[in-house]
Amino acid sequence: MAIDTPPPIRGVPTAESRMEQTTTADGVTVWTIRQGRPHRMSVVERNEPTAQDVARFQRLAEQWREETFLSSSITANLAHPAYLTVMAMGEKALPLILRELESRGGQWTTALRYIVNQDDYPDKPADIGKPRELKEAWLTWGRRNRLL
Amino acid sequence: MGTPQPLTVSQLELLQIRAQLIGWFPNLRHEHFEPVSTDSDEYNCIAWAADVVDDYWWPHPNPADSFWPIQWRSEERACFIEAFRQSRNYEPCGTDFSLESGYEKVVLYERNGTPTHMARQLESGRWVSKCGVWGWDIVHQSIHGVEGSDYGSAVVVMRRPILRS
Repeated sequence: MAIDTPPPIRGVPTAESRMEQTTTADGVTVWTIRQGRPHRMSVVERNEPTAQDVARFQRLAEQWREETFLSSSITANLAHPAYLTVMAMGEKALPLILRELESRGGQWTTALRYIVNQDDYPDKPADIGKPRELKEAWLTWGRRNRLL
Repeated sequence: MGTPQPLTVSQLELLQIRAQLIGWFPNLRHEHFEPVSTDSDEYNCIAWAADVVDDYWWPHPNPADSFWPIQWRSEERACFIEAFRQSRNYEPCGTDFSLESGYEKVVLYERNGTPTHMARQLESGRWVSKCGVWGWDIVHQSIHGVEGSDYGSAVVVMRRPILRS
């Protein structure tokens, strides 16, 4: 026999409590108590770097800057081991890269495009190859996504 | 085209910058040189040789990462020569680094057979170089000033007639 009305909730009810009804294959009605609303983690929460991540990034960024300071070769600069390691840090590096881009500059937009989904790129085709325009587009994106 | 931001630093900071440059380019110790603009990350030496201050010029395979004026992208001397020929009307003229009346010149440097740097000659006969992507513009007396372990040696000069309006 199906139960149309859920039984009283045991325990401490909250404003977020709700009952969900499901029926098993053999016809048994099951009531499940769900406490609280589902919580979707924001980009910020999902990607919060640890203190270790911050220290590591700072070491890598400094190494990259020092060892490519005189180089005009974009190929060599973007293939530098420190730069590649930052890219491999993934989403956790996003706020760190953006802060570095804002404070000291550098060709970090390539790393950002590597980490971020292509559908979310903020730069326009006309910005390609224009360091200042690319930087501004990504800093604006970072502020909008609360990464900066 | 544009103008780099002039360098405005204290005397102490200027001395520190000069010392750092001599450390990187020991030949500068033997000639007159001066840093003339702020360290900027908005252009590199190849762009500055082409009189551009808002782009990275480099034949990187991915056009999204750097500008290159011709379709052919290759880190070899011939590609750099062709790029400056097509986009800026320069023609190679061997290794004549002297100031020639009626001509503007740029010079290409190579290390181990790979292009590394370019400098542009000023009306005074001195040369101007942007130090990589990060660094300052410096005016140096001769092409030898920035030769060394980082940029290698000057290998070819290109020139074009000066157009007077």
